[in-house]
Amino acid sequence: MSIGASSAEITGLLKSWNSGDPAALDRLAERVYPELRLMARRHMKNERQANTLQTTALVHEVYLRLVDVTKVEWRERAQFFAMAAQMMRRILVDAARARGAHKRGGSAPQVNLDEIAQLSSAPDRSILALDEALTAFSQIAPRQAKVVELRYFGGLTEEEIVAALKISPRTVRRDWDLAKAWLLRELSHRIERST
Amino acid sequence: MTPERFQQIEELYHAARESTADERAVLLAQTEPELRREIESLLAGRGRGDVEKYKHQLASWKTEVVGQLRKTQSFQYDSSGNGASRRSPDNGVLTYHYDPLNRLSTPTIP
Repeated sequence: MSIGASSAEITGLLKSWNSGDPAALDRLAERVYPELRLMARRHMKNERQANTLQTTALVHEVYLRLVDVTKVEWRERAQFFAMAAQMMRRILVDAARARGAHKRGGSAPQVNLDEIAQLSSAPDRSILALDEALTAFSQIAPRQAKVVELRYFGGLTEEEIVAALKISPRTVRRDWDLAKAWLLRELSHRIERST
Repeated sequence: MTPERFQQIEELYHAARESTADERAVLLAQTEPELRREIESLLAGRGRGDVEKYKHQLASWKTEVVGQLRKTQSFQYDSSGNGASRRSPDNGVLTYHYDPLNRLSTPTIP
């Protein structure tokens, strides 16, 4: 399959998913996930790099590589980034586990939610702690947890989150504000428990 | 936690975030103790830079609020855990009165 055909196919799947075909999402994910994971691994393995690449950069790169951008509306682009954010979270968590990072013990994990997740070759306990806190939070506040996932792991802008989740800008801002307060509290409790 | 409980927390948290320090003090004083502590602990986590800090001293039922204008307010709670009075440098002591059902009736400034 040529790059061109693949790009047309992926663009088609993105459009089908956006117009309400849930099966298209699975097929789209099957094509995007391996590509994103490969690119992330390649970056994280390369010790000679500065190792401070934000996940946003990778999400945009995979988008440009796989999608025919001339045929995609901005809402569909936001949907793509939202899917990629979820994938980035999984990739970072898997990588941290593979590098032998552990959730507990030692000094307190530092998470700055106002920054965007970065691809690093160093073991990262804070990613695992945040992932666990976010999973627990999503049980009681799924929408708010999703806002964090999109913003922190995918680097989506406020406008992109509005488009991806179909909620108002005010809701995005309020969800982010509450989610951040909640997660920072949960993470600081975790520190108290572990020390 | 039930979805209803989270919704209560969510509504009150946003109301507190979107009020002035004085409005917030009244709002929190009207809130049942457990829910109020939940909100205060969320607001406390935000305590960086210009955001207010809530210091909780459970033993004395006293909460100290260090506001944006570097004013210090302190709350003294009565035995039921409700905010009974608030002390701040600018307008002295603000006293909260409760009806027999433990609902806030009026804050009065002496």
